[in-house]
Amino acid sequence: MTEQRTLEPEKLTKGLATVSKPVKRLDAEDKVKGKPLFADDYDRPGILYAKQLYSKFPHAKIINIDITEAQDSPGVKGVITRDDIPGKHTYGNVIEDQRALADVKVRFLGDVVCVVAAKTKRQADAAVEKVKVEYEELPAVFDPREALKEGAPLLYEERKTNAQIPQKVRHGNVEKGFKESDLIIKKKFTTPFLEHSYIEPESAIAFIDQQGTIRIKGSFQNPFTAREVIAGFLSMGLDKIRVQKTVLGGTFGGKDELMSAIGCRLALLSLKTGCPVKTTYSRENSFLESHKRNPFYMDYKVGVTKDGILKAVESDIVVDSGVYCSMSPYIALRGIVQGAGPYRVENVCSDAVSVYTNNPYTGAMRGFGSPQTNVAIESIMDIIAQKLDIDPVKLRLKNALKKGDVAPTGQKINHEVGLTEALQKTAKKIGWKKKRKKYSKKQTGDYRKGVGIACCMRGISLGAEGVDAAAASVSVQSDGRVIVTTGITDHGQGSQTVMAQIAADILGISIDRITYLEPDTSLIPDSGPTVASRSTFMGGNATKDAALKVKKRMIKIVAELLESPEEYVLVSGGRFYDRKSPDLEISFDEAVKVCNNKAVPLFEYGWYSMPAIDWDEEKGVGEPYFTYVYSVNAAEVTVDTATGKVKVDNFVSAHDMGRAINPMQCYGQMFGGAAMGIGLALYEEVEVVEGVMKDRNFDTYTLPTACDVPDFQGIIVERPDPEGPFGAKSLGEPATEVVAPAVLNAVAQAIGRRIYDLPASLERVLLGKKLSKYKKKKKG
Amino acid sequence: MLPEFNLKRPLTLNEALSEYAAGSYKIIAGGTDMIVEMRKEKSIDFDILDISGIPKLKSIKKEGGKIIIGALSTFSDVFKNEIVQKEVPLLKEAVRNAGSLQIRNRGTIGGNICNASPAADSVPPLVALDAEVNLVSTKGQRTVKLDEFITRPYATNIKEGEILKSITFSPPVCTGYHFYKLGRREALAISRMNVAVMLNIKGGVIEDAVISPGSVMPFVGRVTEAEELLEGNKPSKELFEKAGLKVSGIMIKESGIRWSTEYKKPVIKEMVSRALNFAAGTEK
Amino acid sequence: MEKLKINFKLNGKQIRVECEPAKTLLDLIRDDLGLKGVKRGCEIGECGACTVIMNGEIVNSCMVLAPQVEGSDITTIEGLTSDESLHPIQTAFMEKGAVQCGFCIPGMILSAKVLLDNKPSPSGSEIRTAIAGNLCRCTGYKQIVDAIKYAAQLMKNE
Repeated sequence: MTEQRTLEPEKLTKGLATVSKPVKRLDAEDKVKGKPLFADDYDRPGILYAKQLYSKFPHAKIINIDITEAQDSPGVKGVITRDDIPGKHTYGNVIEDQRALADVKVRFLGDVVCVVAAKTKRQADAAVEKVKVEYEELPAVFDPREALKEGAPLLYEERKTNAQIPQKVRHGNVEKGFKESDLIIKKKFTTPFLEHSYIEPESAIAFIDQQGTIRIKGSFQNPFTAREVIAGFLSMGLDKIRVQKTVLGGTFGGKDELMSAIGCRLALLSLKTGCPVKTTYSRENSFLESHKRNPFYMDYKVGVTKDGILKAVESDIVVDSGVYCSMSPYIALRGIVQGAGPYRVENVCSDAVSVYTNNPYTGAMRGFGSPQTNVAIESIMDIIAQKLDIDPVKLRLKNALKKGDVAPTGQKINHEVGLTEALQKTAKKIGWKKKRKKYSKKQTGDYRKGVGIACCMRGISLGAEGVDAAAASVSVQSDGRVIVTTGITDHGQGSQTVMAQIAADILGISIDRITYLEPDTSLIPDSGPTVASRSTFMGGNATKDAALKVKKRMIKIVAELLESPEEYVLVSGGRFYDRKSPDLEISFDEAVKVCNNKAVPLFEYGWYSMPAIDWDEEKGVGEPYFTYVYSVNAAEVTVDTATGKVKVDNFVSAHDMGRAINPMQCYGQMFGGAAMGIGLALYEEVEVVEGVMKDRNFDTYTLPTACDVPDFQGIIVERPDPEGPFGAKSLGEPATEVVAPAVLNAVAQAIGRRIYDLPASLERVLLGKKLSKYKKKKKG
Repeated sequence: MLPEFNLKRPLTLNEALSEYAAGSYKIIAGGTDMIVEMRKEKSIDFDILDISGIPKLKSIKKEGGKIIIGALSTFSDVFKNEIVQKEVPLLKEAVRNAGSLQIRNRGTIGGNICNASPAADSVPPLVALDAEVNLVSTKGQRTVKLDEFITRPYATNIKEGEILKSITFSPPVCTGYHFYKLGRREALAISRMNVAVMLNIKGGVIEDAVISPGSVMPFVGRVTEAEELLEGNKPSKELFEKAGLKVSGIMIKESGIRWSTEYKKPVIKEMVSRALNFAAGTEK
Repeated sequence: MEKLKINFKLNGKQIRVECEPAKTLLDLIRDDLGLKGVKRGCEIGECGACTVIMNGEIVNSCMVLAPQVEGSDITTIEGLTSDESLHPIQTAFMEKGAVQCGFCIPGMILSAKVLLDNKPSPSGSEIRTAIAGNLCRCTGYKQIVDAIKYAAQLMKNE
C-alpha cells in the first residue's frame, strides 16, 4: 500500500492553494481561441481519405465482395475487405464478437464490409459505391424478448443462444420479504436507444513513422483498448502501435469500440498504401455505426411495510445489446446492483440478461445501466409514497443507507454516507415542503405543476467489471516547471486540471507551473479505459503517488540542506521550509537545482490499484464496488395538460462526491449531467424500426437546447473517502443517473398519472402512449 | 459532402430570369432547406442558380397601401422590420421562433414558401393575411394567392422558369391576433403544428375571424367553417372551444385518420381555442 | 465543375479564392483556408458548431454555399483574438467554467458576441434564446449563460 492511505482527508485541504478551489481549466484558453486541437483538425502531406461501405441488410451472409471496379476508380490507392485482415477478425471486452470488417455475415446495417482510401473525399465516396457485394439475406430479430425465445434467428450460431452472460443479485430471501410486506407494487418500465451526441464526430488519422511504428491519432476515449484491438487485428506487437488521443469533443462512453474499429481500418490501409489515411465521420454515419444506450425492458416488484420500510425488491430485466456484446453484461450488472436504490433492503432478487438482436449495438453511455433501473426503482418509491400517504422525501429518508448499514447487495457500508444530508439539502433548496403541498392540492387549468425527487448510489470505478489500476508520471524540469501525465484521458470533463491541482498542491507550487500531457500509449503504462467515473479517483491517486514520491525525495535533500529533520520540512507557496523554524527556507526552484546537482532524479511514476472487491458473479452476492457516491436530484415541472408539453422549471442536483477537487468543474459535471438526463426523460430516442435507424442527425434526434433546461442549481456534499485523493470519489456519471426519475416523479405529481416508458414525449404525456409514423412489418 | 454542380450567381432579376430559362437549374436563396436536401444526394442532375445576390428582392416596403415583402427577405429581416412590427405583428410573432437565430438569419420567406413544408412557420400567417405571391419569368408575371400557390405538402404550382419575386398583402384590420406554435422543444423546433389567428371585434362582436393552421390539413388555407362559426358572435371561451373543435373535426375530414391523429385531434382544438382567446384578450 | 472566383473579407483580411461551387462556407474556411476553429458537427444547420459571423449576423457556415459569401464580411473565432489578447467573452468563458470539451465553444462565443454587440445587458432568457442554435452536450448551458452575463459586465467596464 502506498503512503496516501494513512493520511487524514479532512485535514488535507486546509491551507492548500488549488485543491477545493475553482481553478481555471488548463486547456480553456486554447479552447476559447478555437485552436486546432481536435482529431479532424490534423492533416499530413500525401494524405488519403477513407470511406466505408455499410451492410445493405440487417442480417445476411456475405457471399462475395467484388472490389475490382472500386480499385480502378480514380484516385483510389487501397481497398480493404475481410480478405486483407492480417490477424484477428474479432475483438471485444467481454465477448469477442465485434468485427472492424465484416467477415462471414453482416448483422446490422452499420456493419462495414469494405473500406477504400483515395486521394480526395469525393473520390473515396465515388469508389465505395462501386464495390459489389453479394448477400444472402437471413431472418433477423429486433426485439430482445423475441430473441430469447426458442427458434429465434441466432446472431452467433456457435453460441446456440442470443442470451449473453446472465447477471444476478441475491440478498436475503425475497419470498420472506414479500410476506412481511403490507404493500406490493408491480410495474413494468422501458427505456429506448439513445445517442451519446458528442458534438465532435469520430475522426482519426493513421500513418507510419520513420521507425515503422504505426501511429494513430484520433478521438479515442480509450487509447489503450484501441491499441490492443489494432495490434490483434494487424497481428503486431503492442510496441509497434502507438495510439494518441487528440482533444475529445465529448464522448460520454461513446468513442470506444467504434474508434477501435476505425483505428484498425486506417492502420491497415496505411500499411497497404504507405500513405497517411484519415477519416472523419458524417453525423449520419456516426449515428449509424456507433453504439447506443441499451434499451431496458424492466419488470419490477417491490414490497414495503405499511410504515414504508422496504422489505423486498425483485426485478427481471432484459437488455437489448444489439449485434455486439460490447459492455452489455456489465451494464446489466450495474443496472441491478444499483437497481434497488440506495436503501436498506434486506431481500433482493434481481436478474438481468443482455441479448443479441439485429439492432444497432449498445454499450457504455454515461451512467452505464443505472439511469435505466433508477427510473424504475425511483418511480416505484413514489408510487409507494402515494399509496401509503408518506411524503416521498420522508420515505426515502426512512430507507436511506447510513454508515454501518447493509446495502442491497449484502455489502456492509463502512464509509461515511452523505445521502441523508443530500436529501435534506436538496429538499430545502427546491422548496420541497411548500411546493409538494401546494401542488398536491387540486390544480385547475391546463398548466399543472409538480415537484419530484429521486436518489441513487453509484459504485465508483470498475469494481466487479474488471481489473482497475492507473499510472501517472510527474517530472520536475530543471527550471522548476513540472510535466504531469496520466493514463487517464480528458473528454472535456477537466480531468487534466484535477490531476494538475493534485500535483501542484502536493509539490507546493502554483498550478501555472504544470503542463499536463494527454496519454500516448507508448509513453505511459496502460491505465485501463477512462470510463466508470474513475478519472479523479484512479488517475488522481496515481498522480498523488508520483508527486509524493518526488516530494519525498526533494524533502530529503532539503532537510540535509536546512539541517532540519525530514519530518519538519514542508512545502507550499513554492518554498520548502522548516515548520518549527519557518525562517529556514529554500525556494522550490533552488531545491530543484540542488537536486539536479546531486543527480537526484525528480521523475517518478505513480501507480494506483483499486482496493480489493469481492463479487461472486455466480451467486450474485458480495461487494461489487469499493465505495459509492450518493446522489439526489429534484425537479419542478410545469405540464401543459392540453398538449403534453413538459417544461422543467427548476432543478437541483446534489452529490456526496467525497471531496470537490475543483468545485467549478464539479458544477459543470452536475449541470451537464442534468441536461443529459432531461434529454433522456423528455426528448431523446433513436427510433429503430426493423433494424433501420430512423433518427440519424440532430434534426429529429432532439437534444435539449439552452431554452429547454432551467437555471440549474448544484449542491456539493463532502464526506471525504479515506481512499480517495484528498478524499475525492467521483461525479461524472452520478450527475446523470437520477435526473430522469426526478423529472418523471414531478410530472406524475402534476398530471396525476405516471409515465412508464421513456421519453415522456408530447404524445406519451397526453395519451399515455407513443405514436410512431413508422410502421412495423407484419410478422409471417 | 455536397454533390457536384455548377453555379451561376446573377446580380439582377433579369439576368436571373434569362439564365433560369436557358439552363437546367434549381434555385437557391438562403440555402437552409436546399443545402440540407442536396446533401442527401450522391449526385444531382441540375445546376444551381443562386439568387441571393439580387438586392432588389430583399426589400420590405409599403406601396399603395399594400405591404410588399421581397422574396429574399430573411426571417430576421421580417422580424426586425418596422413596417412589419407596426402593421403586422402577427407575422413578426410567427417568424420569431422559426429554427435557430442562425437559420432565421439565412432562411428566406420566399424559400420557406417555395419549399412548401407543412411545418413552415411563415405560411399560416401569410395565408391568414390573404397574401399573394408575385411570380416572374421571361414570359411575364403573374400573381397567385398563396393558398392556391401551395398545392399540397412540398408542392407548389410554380411554373418552369418562374421565380418568386415577392409576397404582397394588405395590412390586416384586426383587433387581436395570435400565432401558436407547438414544437417538441422550446427552441430549434420544427412545428409539430401551428396556427395563426386574427380577430376583428367591434362593439363586443366578432366581425371577422381568420384561422389558418399549419401541419394540420393536407393543404394550406383558412378554415372558413370555423371562422363563420365565430363571426357575428360575442367572443367567449365556449365559443372559441367550439371553433377549435370545428378545426379538429375538419382536420379529420380532410386528412382521414393517420398515425398522429389521436394526438393532433385534441391538441389542435386546444391550440385554436387558446390562440383565439389570446387574440380576443380572454386568454385562459 | 467550373470553379468560381470569390472575394470576401475574412477576419478583416481581403481574401480572393478560386473554388468549386459545390462547397459550403464551412468547407471553404476549414478545409481550404485552414481555419480550424470552425467546427463540423452536423452539416444540416442544427448544431451551430460551425457558426460564423456574416455581415454582423451569426450563420451556420454549413448552410451557406461558398460562392454566396461574395462581398461579405466574415468573422471566425480566429478573428476575435487580436495580438494574442483575449476578447472579454473568451476571458469570461474561461473564468466561469463555461468550457468543457470545447467543441461547441467557438460557435457559442461568436453567438454571444453578436448578442452583446447588439444588446449590452441581456437578460438570462435573452441569452438562452441567442445561443439556442448552439448545441452543447457537456455543460447544460448554465455556466455558459453565466459567462455571457459576466462578459457583458467586463465589456461595460472596458
